[in-house]
Amino acid sequence: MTHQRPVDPRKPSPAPATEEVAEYYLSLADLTEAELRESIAEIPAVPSDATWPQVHVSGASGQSSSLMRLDHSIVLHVDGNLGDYAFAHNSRVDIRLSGSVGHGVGEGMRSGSIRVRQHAGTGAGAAMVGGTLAVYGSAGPRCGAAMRGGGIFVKGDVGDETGVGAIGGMIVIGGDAGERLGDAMNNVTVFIRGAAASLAAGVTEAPLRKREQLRLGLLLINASIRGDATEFRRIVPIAMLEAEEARRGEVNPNWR
Amino acid sequence: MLNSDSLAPLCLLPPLMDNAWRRLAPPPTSHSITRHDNSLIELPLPLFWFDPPWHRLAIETADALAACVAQNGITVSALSRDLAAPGSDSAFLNAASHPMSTRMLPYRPERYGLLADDFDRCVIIDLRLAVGRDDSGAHVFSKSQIQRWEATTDAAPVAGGSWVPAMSFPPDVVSLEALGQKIIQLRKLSPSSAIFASLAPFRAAAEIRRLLQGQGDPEQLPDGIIVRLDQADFTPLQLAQQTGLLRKVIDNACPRKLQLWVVPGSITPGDAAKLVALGADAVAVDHWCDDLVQELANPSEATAASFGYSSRGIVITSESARKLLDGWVTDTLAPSVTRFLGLCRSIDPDPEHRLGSFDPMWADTLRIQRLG
Repeated sequence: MTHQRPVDPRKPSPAPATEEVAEYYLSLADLTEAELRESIAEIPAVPSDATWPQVHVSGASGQSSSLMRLDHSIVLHVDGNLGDYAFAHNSRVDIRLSGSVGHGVGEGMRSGSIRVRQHAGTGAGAAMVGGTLAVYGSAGPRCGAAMRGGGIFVKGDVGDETGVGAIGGMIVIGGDAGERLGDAMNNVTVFIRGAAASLAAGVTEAPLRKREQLRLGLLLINASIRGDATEFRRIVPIAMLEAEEARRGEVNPNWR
Repeated sequence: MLNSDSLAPLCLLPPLMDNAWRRLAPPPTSHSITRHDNSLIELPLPLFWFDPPWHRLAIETADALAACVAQNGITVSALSRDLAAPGSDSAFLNAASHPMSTRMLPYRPERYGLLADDFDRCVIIDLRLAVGRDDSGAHVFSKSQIQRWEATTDAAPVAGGSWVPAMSFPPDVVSLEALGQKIIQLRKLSPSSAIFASLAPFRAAAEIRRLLQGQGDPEQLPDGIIVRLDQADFTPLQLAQQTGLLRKVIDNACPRKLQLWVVPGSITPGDAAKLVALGADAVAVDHWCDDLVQELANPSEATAASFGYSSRGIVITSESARKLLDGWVTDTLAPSVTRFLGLCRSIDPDPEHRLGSFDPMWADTLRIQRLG
């Protein structure tokens, strides 16, 4: 592994030989948001089977609207805390943030992953389309609101109205949930280990099926979380559960 | 189209009799929006199509119609998913082929159908804070609407092929006072666009004050406000009164000039010009353009004979059909647009001398000249 530290952070070094992993060092304190995005865009693409370049970003101190609309096969290590709407509308990037993040983290993300070591604010993963958002602390209200796909994992607690308006994807809650869990939720499965202050009208607890145990177990392993999938309960829209139970032979169920 | 002005009791005043010559106002053939950083965005006309029902048309037809309407100078609101299936491109959004095309990006609270690329090809981002209704009147998105946006297969429809509830406020914003951070985010996602916030009319004055006075940084302020006056069943007098009132509210609440765009419902070109005289910077002409959608979705025999008909309604795929559509749209819209522009040229630059009314109640309510 090489450790390249370019003199001019705006001009990343050329790609290394195939078996080496390129590392880049950038600073939010030195570069504007646009310069940072430009620097990342200049990192040469690697073959699909090669290890992705590692990009280390320092100087994160609560900046809002940072590192958005990235579409690059890189691993991004961000040291510190970020403000609202960090990592919005990203694709492919594998992100690890060492601190906490404000509201709307990962809004509209299409693919890739975001791992937040500490806490997230309101609307984490709002309107996300794909990929995985993992929060290793707690998340605020309306986590996973209007999500359209992908998966959200919160190791700790989540706030009120988690999953509100979500129409696709999966939410895993390692702790407790606030009021009205799953309000106006469609096509979404929530797994919860703790208790919910209340379930929204139209959602219910459902048996955890074998396939979900497997799916959840894999997710827990990937997220390096201790625990057994059987400790979780499954929360789904009632209409979805009814369609699931009546599905045999039914091709296109109308849940309402 | 309507034949008579709803705002007929309002008169656009001509020059005084003893004024030998009043120079015509320059035609509003371009409309400038000043952004927070004093940069300018030029639109062809102060007319826009706020909420086109694209899902009622075949996707190819929606795309072609958007381009044709924009060619007539009307700013058109659309997501790329409204106009192009996944993996294909929209002719309307291809700016090279339609240099006059201007698009508003509707940024709804739920963001269903929104793609990251949507931020690239628009001049205005419309941050929607007014919850919409479907045909039934409920605050929901219809099956056909949600299927168009999310492009799921028929075998796995969203919500099992039913409606999906609509939200009223972005779920990742804590409060109206905190909306400034969302506005800054949108500025960064689309650096060359103007950011507008669209509101319902019911508590608009109070909400505009909260929105504009709650932000500390000018960058956190929107560049304009759109008010959906069509959501309330206003009488014509109330429509006029609200337009004038909102103009004053915005001017008093913000030190810099912000745009006021209104969505008035069914109007004539004369009504549109009078709304401009009352203080609106741009006027939605959904009523004019929705008639085009209606005709293409449920064509008369003559229209079907011209364009050809399929089970999906009129489907515009060939270049010849596009040209035919362009001609039809221009023939339909041009008289109204021309009349609107002509009336706008006659508006007195001095607000005190723009409008009058022979109706004492109108004159007193709007505080304009009582005529006769």
